[in-house]
Amino acid sequence: MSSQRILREAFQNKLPLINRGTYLRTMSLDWVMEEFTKNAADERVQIISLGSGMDTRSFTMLKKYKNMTYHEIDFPESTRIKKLAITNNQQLSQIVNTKHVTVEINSAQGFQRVNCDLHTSNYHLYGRDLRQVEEYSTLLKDFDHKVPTLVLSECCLCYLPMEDNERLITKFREMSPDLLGFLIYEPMALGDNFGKTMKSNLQKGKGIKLPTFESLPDLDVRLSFLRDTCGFENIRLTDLSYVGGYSKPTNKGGWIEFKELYRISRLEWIDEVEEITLLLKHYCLCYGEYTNGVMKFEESDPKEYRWIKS
Amino acid sequence: MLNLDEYVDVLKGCTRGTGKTTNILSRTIVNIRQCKHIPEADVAELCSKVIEILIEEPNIQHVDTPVTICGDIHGQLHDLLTLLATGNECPETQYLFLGDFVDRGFYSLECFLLLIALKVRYPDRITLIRGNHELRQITTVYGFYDECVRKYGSVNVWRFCSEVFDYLSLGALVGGKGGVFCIHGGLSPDIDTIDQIRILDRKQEVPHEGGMCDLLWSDPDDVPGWAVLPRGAGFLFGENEVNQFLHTNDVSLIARAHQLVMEGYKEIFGEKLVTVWSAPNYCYRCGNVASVLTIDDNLQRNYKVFEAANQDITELPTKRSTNDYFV
Repeated sequence: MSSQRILREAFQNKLPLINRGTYLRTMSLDWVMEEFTKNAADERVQIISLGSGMDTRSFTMLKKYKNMTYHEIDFPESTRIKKLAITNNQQLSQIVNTKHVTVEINSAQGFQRVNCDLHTSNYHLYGRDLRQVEEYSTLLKDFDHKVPTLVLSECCLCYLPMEDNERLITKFREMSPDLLGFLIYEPMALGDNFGKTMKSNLQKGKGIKLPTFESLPDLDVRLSFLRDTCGFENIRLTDLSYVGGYSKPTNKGGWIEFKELYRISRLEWIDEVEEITLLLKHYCLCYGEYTNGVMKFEESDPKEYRWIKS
Repeated sequence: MLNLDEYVDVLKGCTRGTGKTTNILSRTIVNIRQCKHIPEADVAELCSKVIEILIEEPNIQHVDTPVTICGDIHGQLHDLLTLLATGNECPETQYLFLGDFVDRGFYSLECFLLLIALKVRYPDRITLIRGNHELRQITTVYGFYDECVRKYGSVNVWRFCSEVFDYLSLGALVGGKGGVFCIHGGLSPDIDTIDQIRILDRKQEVPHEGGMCDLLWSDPDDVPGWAVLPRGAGFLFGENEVNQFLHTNDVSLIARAHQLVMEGYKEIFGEKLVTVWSAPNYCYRCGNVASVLTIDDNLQRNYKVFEAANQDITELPTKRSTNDYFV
């Protein structure tokens, strides 16, 4: 999410449907990330967040997990803002083990002069164009291929053409052939009218084009892409409607305990269940890994009720 | 604080009932259709007039056939105009609107004003019942409150309209015995008979639970009895509950709105319950069609499906979060 949007939205009431969707997205991604962290055989674990996703996720995770190193790759314009936000804030700079220094920027030139990288003992922020995968080996100099690594794409890979998706995933496989997991959260078209309208609204309203939206339109196509094209194993796929308990056959709370579901349902009334179900069905959560068994799904979740396909 | 009647008097500088109403009404109806600004004083007068009519109506309105039943509108004025063109204008066609006139769309106020203006003009040719969005608490979250404040710079208009909400009927019975029971949401475990609805004290903000709340919030589903609803209010009710209710009250069909149906309408439980949805491309995002249901003198059902008037979001007045996705 861009910094501009965060700023605008911070002052605007959001619809309950958007808040609920954000809750489900956060809760489900957190669960996979935390399981990955717990299951890592080695004591240390590495997260690589493509395009930074939900911008504050790194801070909550680093605060909680001392064995975690967090890498974020985003455009230099965005990482400069993020870096300044971190170093200007005492709590954030403490979380990422850097010095709290107040830097005032008064001009566009001053902003451009800020170094777009930040490297600390547990946190690495790279101001890079993600598509320059050939340069990853030199650019991501703090990447440790001996440490279990989870690559997180939270609405990021969906912006890249399919060839870039493949190139990027393959590159990470080269860099860490046996300790790599991939977690992807993004929208998909499902080939229905909602998907068609969504594509047109995003394009006309925001100028956004999402190549994977129609190239990887549903969980079946995604399963075969992850398995056959990318060569992932231990694959799990679900959609956010299932996570939230809106889809049958679960319909019993999804990933959320009944008590918690009852609590959040009362916080904000959802006026239209069909609409939220429809919206959430168009967002998928996909996990895949190289070297089967980095993630121990059976141990962490014996019933395996979280996934639609595996 | 002035009540609504006193407020109108102050704004007009005169006492009401001077015979100008018909003029104001005709002008207002034309202006609303063109989406023009309606002066606050006219809104106040319209609200006051419609309350005079609604206050006389029972909780369950008796409606004769033939009638055209409409589901949720949600502030989609251009689609409401398409609806009236599709079903033929009021008063030629008699209409029954099942609530949810406001919220979500960008023209909630215009939709509501048009419907109450028609109600004042042709009180016997249009029936309005209350939906779960005709609630102060809901309109402050889902857009109608913000829209009124944006258009008038104060909460007055929202207050007038909210007062009207409290007087709306809760349901309708079309065609008498063996006819169609019409309600916004559905059934309630607290309510077995239509007579129990008739004795409710409806003139209030809808409570968070209980019979009146359930009528506006519940959904039918494949459940064995009553189940908790993921919306946060109301219940899920199954086929047995519907059969029981139809039998006890000697009606043949429940017609309700409240749930988005991609095809515009959906009959379930052996065609004993129908959901009618009248907001095409709901929220400018869902890609659905809409419908109205006409019940003729023989209680036969005839559905008319219609599409959205304006599919292009760049023509909408604001880019508010209605169109937000997670990207």
